[in-house]
Amino acid sequence: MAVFFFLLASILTVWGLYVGFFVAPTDFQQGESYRIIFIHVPAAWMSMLIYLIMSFWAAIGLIMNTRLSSMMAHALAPTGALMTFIALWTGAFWGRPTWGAWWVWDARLTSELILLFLYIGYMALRASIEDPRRADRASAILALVGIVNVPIIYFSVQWWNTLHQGASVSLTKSPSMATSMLTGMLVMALAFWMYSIAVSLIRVRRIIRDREANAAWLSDSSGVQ
Amino acid sequence: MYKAFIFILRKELLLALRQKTDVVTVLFFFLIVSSLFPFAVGPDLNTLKIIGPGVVWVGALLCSLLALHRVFETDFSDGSLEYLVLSGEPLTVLVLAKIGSHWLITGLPVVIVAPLIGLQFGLSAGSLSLLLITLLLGTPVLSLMGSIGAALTLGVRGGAALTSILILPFYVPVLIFGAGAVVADLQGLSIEGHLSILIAMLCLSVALVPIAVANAIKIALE
Amino acid sequence: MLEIQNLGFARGKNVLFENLNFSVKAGEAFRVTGSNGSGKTTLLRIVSGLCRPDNGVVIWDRDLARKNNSEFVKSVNFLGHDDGLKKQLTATENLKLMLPLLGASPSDRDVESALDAAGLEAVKHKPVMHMSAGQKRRVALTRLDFMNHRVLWILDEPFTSLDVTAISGLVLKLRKHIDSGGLLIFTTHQDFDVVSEALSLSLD
Repeated sequence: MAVFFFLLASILTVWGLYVGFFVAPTDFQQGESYRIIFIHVPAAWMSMLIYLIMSFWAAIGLIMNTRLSSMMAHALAPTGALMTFIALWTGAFWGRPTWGAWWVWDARLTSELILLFLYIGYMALRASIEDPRRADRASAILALVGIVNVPIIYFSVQWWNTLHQGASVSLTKSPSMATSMLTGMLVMALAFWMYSIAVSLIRVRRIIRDREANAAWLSDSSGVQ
Repeated sequence: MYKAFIFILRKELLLALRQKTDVVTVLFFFLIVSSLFPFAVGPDLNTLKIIGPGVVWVGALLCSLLALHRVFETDFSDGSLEYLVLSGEPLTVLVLAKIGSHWLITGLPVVIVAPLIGLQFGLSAGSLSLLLITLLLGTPVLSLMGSIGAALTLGVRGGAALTSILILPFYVPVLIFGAGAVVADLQGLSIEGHLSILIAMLCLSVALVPIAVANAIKIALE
Repeated sequence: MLEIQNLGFARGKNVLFENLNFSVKAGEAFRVTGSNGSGKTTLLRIVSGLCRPDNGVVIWDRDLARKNNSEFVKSVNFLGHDDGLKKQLTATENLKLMLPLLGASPSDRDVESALDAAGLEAVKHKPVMHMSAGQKRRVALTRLDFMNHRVLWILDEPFTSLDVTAISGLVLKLRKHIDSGGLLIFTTHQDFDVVSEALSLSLD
């Protein structure tokens, strides 16, 4: 099943990149450099979505005491962090020609950076607790505290940003976006979805194998593969 | 419930009296960290005035971080935490008492000393009193949020460093509105928004954090 | 009555116990034996509600202990490996500040005479950090004098680091508790006759 999602991801990536880099028109203000958004925006979307899904699984694992959901949360974290990282780097690549600086303390960029810290904290906590079940529960609490805090952090960063430098720079585009731009972005988002699903499935399979190597229920849960 | 709260408070304050070095260390740390900034950016009072509120706030934040991992650590290692959990009193109340006394011992002294450090940065009397107010509202939030990290990392190797990784993102909003209020005031802007948000954060964390911490402690004891 | 049904617990791949069933009635003592690492402490922590079992339930007075946790916990008097004493405080201060949390509010005189009876008269006003392991254990065990309102005593290795007189004193306390209708679960790997009629379970 993971292979299927991988295939889907590659096809969609090729299609999305083709649309993004060859079909979509050149932006009259930013030239060619804007094309990085075909990677940047989907990655940013995924980074937030994965955090939501991860916290959801972690919460289910904590409340219902189901191990598989905790393992799903565990498997999602590295992908989420990777997406956040990609979003940050592509943001910097885009910022260099557009804003003239690698890093601008833009509200969204800053929030994304803090999101990366949240992922790092989640993974660091998991990694340092040896007992996997304790790690499941402790990291679930952290993820949930994070979910409550994400809106507060986002709001405060935006407030801080407008207070200090005014909303002169922003990633928001004019609403008149060419259809091919939108197609490219959506296809790429779909590709990232597929990639995330594929990688998480592979990872969760490995986690199950590592953790429950001798547990009897592995034999009758092959459905998760 | 109320009685249990008072007994924990009494016990913690008595412990702090027996071990004053803890408080003194935190205060010296605060003093030293904030005194380093003029060496780094130069003695120009106009520059220092601009960064002053931020420096004092960051200093207070680091102090909170430094003191935090102790909030439950000794109770965890000497077994007292087990007796708290099995006391039959609501753990959230006991946890709130622990965090409250922790703030009284390590947070409040920092708040009291802060205006002195603000003086070094040439802040006016108005700014200093505003700094005091924002710290009074904000540092309890830091202690509360931080104790989540402290409880989650109980008995974990590298606990203190891990705690800071876990909770620094949650400190950002407090820092933004705490230091931001003083800066906004310097620029002649209204600070009502800042203060009401700080109060809202304080109320929210008093209500929710003990639940998270109580659960984290139960998990750590398993 | 305390009933344990189908209790199972594994630490990683290491199965500590499976399908454990036993019950303890009022006026009964139950002794858990086993070598180091056999799961005695874990079993006691599960019964007291500190740990969750993988399988099985703890039933207290015909109700799930976990469901009715706050009621259950108020019937439990747990003594773990660690004494739960603050090393900067004296023995007297430790007890006076801890007992109220456990639902007992003895007068200062009661606390001090209990410490005297435990042979701690000379050290009761000294910080606990200057005491020997046996003395600390005795301070912790002095708590038992004020815990008769909690009927289910769960004591993990109560005899460790005690001398002969302290052991016989403790045996007397335990017997008194059982005779007044209390329940007792304890672990020990020392093999001496503590409470002669105790039921026994070996985890080996």
